[in-house]
Amino acid sequence: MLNYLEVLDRANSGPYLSEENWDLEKVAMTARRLVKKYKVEYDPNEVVTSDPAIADAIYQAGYEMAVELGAYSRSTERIIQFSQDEIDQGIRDMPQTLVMGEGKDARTLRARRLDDDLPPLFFGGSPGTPIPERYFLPNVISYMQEPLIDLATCGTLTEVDGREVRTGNPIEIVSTRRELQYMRQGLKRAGRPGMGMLAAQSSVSELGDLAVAHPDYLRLCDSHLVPVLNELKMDHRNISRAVNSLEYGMINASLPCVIVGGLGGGPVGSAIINVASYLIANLTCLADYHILHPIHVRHVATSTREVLWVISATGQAFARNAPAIIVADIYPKSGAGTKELLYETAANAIVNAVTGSHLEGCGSADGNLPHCSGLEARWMAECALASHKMKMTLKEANEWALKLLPKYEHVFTQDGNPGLPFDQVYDLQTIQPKDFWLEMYEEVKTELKDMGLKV
Amino acid sequence: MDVPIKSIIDKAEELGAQVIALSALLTTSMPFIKDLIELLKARGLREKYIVLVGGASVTEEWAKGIGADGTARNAAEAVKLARELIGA
Repeated sequence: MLNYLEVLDRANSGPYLSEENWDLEKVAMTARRLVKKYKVEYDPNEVVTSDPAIADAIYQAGYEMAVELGAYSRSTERIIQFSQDEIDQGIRDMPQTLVMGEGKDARTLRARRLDDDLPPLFFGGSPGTPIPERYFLPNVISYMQEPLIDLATCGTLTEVDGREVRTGNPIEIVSTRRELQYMRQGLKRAGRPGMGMLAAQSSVSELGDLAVAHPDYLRLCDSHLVPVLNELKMDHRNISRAVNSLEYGMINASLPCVIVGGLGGGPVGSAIINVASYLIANLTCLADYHILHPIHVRHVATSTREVLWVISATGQAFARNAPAIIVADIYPKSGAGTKELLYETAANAIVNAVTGSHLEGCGSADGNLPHCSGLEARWMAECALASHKMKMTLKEANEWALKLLPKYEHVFTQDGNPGLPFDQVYDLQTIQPKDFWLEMYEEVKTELKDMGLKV
Repeated sequence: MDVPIKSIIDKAEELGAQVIALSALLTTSMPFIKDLIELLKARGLREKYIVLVGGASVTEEWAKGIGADGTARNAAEAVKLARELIGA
């Protein structure tokens, strides 16, 4: 395995290139060339492709991109180059099983295959969503208490003790530690103290992340994010997150958020970049598992046709060629208290589960507002488990997506569909959904049952 | 990304810009936009520039609250709005 300090050395000694040239001459041009070379086309009516040749071509093209380009350091404006052997070793080293959490609450994440006998696991929480401190604790408990949820994640504290949190400001240390205090408290209150976490979400810069590498906050059985910047870039801040895990030993989750409609062009180029990002992240992020979270350039949401295509192609590419532990974020456009949120979540959950991912969610309302609750995470798990129980094929998953898309696609042409904040859809004392929200959920559940989904 | 607000104002002065347009993806980056408007005021430059704000985390209400001149949902709309406000 490549010594991580070698990655640092290369960030300090690789060939110089301006960031603009990296973006355009390297990433965009390579993506365009590979899309042409592999002759893959996006079909909006086949958001889950059943053609294994497409998944294999996406993998091969992404591999070619990773070997050819490597990564870019924004801090030093140098290319971090890797040999093909190093990329290959990174692939061989991708964990196939990973235990998160401890004691009776521990769960084992596995690299899933297509048609896997093992169901996906579920991270419950609204990752990275700004949440006011006054209901941060009940919000995280609303997910942790859900029996189908295996692992916990959370939003971002945007203020602590009435003070606004700013990126890179020392207050990030306070907010990230406070977040972890609430998370640990929440796990105890939910009766699941050993549940594993993906946390330190309040740390936008590296400050908070470094400050919680301590058993009182983020335990060795928990994970934190090591982002890959758009596209295929790192900087010293994010490399510091990986370095910090070297001796402490916490679990690293790589987070490339490939922009669909960005440097990769359409969904095909974006999926190629997503594959390359994971192969690079094996080395630059020391990734133990990968987060699958492409972002739509206009609509953000993961429930758009284009992003569903990228998710399903990337998931299949790895499941068929190099199984890895992939956890797919569900970021619907709509917020809590709306039916569309439930339709978007159902489409995303089915597509993700059938194409080899574990699931995390939901970042309702684009993860932009505190309009999220544990109920939609319950629904995410129910839909994914139903697809698994039904042994849904790729073709059937596509048919489900096509049935669900018309029920919510209008939200992309209107000015969002934000729904309601957590304190208006849940009772903060009992931490239970309010009647109207529960009834809406039951109504959609009945509708999808009638359509044939075994929830 | 990670550009100090002072550098943004200095660059606008150097280039003779008419518009300063800022985007924040994350809620924790938004306070820096507010700081920029305050620094423009402190330097007596607020009236010299049209300040447009945007990005995933920015709402119209927030933009009004900090005294921005306008907000747009994406870069294309921001260009359109800038043209309107400049009168081009």
